Amino acid sequence: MEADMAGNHNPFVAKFLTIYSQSELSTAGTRGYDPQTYVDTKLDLKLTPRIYSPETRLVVLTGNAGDGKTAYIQRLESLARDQGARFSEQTDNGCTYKMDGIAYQTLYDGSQDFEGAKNDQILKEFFSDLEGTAEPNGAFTKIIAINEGKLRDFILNKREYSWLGRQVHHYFESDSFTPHKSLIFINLNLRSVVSDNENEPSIFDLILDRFLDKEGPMGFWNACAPENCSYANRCYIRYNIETLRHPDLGPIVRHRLKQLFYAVLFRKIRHITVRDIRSFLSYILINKYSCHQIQADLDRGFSVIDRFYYNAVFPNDEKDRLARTMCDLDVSLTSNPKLDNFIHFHGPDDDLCLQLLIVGHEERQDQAYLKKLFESMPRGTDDNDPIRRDNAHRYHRSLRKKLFFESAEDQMKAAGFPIWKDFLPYKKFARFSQVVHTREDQHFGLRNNLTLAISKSERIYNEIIGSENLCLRSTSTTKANTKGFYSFPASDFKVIVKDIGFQEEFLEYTPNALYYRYIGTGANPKNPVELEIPIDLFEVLCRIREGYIPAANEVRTFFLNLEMFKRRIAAKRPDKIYLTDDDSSLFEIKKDPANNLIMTKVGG
Amino acid sequence: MMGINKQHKAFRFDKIMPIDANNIILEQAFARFLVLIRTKGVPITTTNKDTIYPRSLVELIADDPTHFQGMTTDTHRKQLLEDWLANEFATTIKVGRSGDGDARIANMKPIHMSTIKLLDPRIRSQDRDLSKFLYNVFQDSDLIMGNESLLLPYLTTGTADFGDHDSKIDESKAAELDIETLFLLRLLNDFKVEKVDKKKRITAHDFICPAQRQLIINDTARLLVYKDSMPRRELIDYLIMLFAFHAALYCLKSFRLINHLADTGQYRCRHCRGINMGSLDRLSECEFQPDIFVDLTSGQDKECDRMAKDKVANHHAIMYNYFRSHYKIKKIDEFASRFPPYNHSIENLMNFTNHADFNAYFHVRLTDIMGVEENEIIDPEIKAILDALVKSRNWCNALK
Repeated sequence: MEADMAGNHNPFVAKFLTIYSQSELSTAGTRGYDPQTYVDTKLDLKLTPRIYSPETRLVVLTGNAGDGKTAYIQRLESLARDQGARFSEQTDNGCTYKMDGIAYQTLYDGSQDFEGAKNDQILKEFFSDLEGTAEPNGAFTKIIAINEGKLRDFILNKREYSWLGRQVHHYFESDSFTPHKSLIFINLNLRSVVSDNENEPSIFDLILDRFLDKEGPMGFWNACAPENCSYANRCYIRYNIETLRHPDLGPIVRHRLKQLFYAVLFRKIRHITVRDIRSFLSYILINKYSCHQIQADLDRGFSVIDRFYYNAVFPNDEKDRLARTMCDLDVSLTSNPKLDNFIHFHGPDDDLCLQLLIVGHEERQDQAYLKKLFESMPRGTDDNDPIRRDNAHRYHRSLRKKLFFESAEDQMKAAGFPIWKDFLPYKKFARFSQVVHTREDQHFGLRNNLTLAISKSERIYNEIIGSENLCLRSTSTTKANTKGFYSFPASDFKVIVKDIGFQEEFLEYTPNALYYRYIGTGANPKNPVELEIPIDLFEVLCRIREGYIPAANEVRTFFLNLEMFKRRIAAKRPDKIYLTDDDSSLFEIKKDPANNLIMTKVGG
Repeated sequence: MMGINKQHKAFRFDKIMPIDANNIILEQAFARFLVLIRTKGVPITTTNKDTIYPRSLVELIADDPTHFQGMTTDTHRKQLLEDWLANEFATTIKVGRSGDGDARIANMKPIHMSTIKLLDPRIRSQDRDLSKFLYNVFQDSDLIMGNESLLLPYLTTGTADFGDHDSKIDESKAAELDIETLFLLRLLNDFKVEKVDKKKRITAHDFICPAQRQLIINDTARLLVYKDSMPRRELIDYLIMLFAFHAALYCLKSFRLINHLADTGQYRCRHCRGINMGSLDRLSECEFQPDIFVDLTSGQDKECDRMAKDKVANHHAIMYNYFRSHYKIKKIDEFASRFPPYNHSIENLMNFTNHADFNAYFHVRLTDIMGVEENEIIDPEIKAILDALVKSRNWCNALK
């Protein structure tokens, strides 16, 4: 490949283009094991040794398409081959090999037919050694990737798998169940691509490090050096890679980019697979054009400003799953009036503007495009030229995004501007993130705040009563003069962050939601009454606590879970009711030990 | 509120359509259904109680300072309580024709069996016999009726039976009650259920589609599984919604069955006979099964919009036919009633279409209607029909 690198051409660009899910060249790089870009995760570090432990008989990998099941198994086979394993059979759906006296069998997809053999027949043969009423014996280990539903359908309620069936059943039905030592169940759906454990790098960091090839062992970006490519000082790939490789700027941009992936995770509307993150990182860094196409665009003066990483993170017209979700978090769409005003009147090469950026970055490939946009903005408020107006929008959005990633916090503060965190569409992101990472609600502070928020969403505005008690309207009638609220003590609730039990040993994991759980009388730990709070709901609840009143359509769609939770709580037996006709004076009705009803005015 | 007029009465034939085709106030129907559950099918038609207003209940609370403490010590509290009772516990109607009088209690919200104590039969019900229909649906099932059923113990929670149909708060269970139920039961404790009208006991109904009835029971059972997981008011709302939905479905299905009966003389479809609780999915094979297309795009998708409107038009066409079919069957019943021992059953009724006097009877009836005495003011609707007939005859003669 060294020879190909000469003459303004990097052959690895074509390789990275195939990793992007919407590649116009090929999507071959999105599937299976690729030795050059595969990264060792906790699966490789913790699960692989367990698989080669003699007591292990069956390893079941479940998860979504793109979670890396097949790649992991193929990586396992590759390592075995390197260690001298004897392979007896190899197909496109798995293989069998022997190593250290143990027979290994792998199956990449236990949920599909293969070469004329019906799926159930394939599974019957695969699980034949695991039939019976007792734990399996024999010198074998089987590794299978299978859909959870298929595993249930095939194993459960079959007489021949009575022992295995019990294990599978308990694994699915009980969060706290630890399977027999000969079995390992791994659900890759629980794996998070972003995590912040000091002792282990996140998958995001691992893949980004591999793509950036910082130390250069893979030689991915050698061809992009100015001495090898005459387009280097204009090429966005060079800018993107070198920005993230930069010793000072790189870690900062990476951290801010990572927060965006956290935000996607915390929204809980899309599971980010390894395929997703590989695809999107490839798009952010390399975009979707070959060296030849890039050079042609640069030669004809075509603006490539949208391909610089800070714009590419929020692509408007891409169909990639993750890209579309990321657009919802576009940091150029939030508003900070003082900064927005500044951007409008300052060009990218203005000293005041340059002072806001982290110093030391030598790449300037984007400057010419930004400057051109700035100079082609409307001349005065009467200028309605649509192209110039569009230029103004594009300049404004591009610079906001660039500042989000590359601005120096101190400089922004000194100039009286918001810092990068304030560009995020979630004002309470830091609070949410902090509870998720510590996995603890210290001194019940968050519990009390959420209690008040939910109470306020029911239109009770007394902050003390609303935070000490979860108050739910007794009817949905809005025309009534008097409002009645069922009351449940806040101490009957707690905020929890869920873990994934034994699987955390093998998977990088970051909780993606908080749970507001009922723990009062009659609470059932196996089927708890709880409200799942992803970041969008958290954000709105925090705003409600601060006085925001949601619109009816928000309540109908966005708060469906909240409404269902309230109904389940209201089904409990409240011991107190609050009545009010003016929101300021509240009356409490409760029963005494003799079951008489007593009304008292709150606060005397 | 209009009563049933002569035309309505002439149309009603509850053998085939047990629910009166008119506006229904569902909460009233459910409240009366609770009465029928409690009395095992005997309605309450009269009362000795004075008219009750929310303020009357506040006065009762004031008279019982042991059980209700601190509730009526000032006018603010009294007003608060009166509003709360009016809004959340009672259904009220305004006194006087102009509707600007005081709001009197028509019935308490049917959230507990004890609420039937304050059902005011003087206020004309817009039940339209839905409560009778529901009673007949459930009377043989052990889902709602009986102390071992799913619903009755839920509805009578915290009370002990007293007399024929009355109940009193069970003090030994008062501690287990939620605050709202305790308040309601204490409030209603001294009231009594009115005497029932045994002469008007509900007669059993022979359902034109027994399988559809089974479906109502089945769906209700599914809902009642969740009775302890949702608030009491919520469950009652869901039950009311479910009953309304199923009553409508039953009517839609009956329209088709009645059309078929009028056209062919055949009673019931061949599929539904063998359908039981275990094979309800076979209802989808029924040729009379109502089909509804709901446009969830709210008109944004043109195709969905068109399909939904077509379906409504189709239902209207069936309904239009139904009016004629229903009237025809009603008239056959009228004819058959002249020949004892006719028992008013549908099977029996359809035999009379082949009776020797059938055509002659209706010919005479028609002549009576068409005959107009001098100076008689004719009902405009009848006049329109007569004019149409005259025109039609003239047209036929011209053709000849």
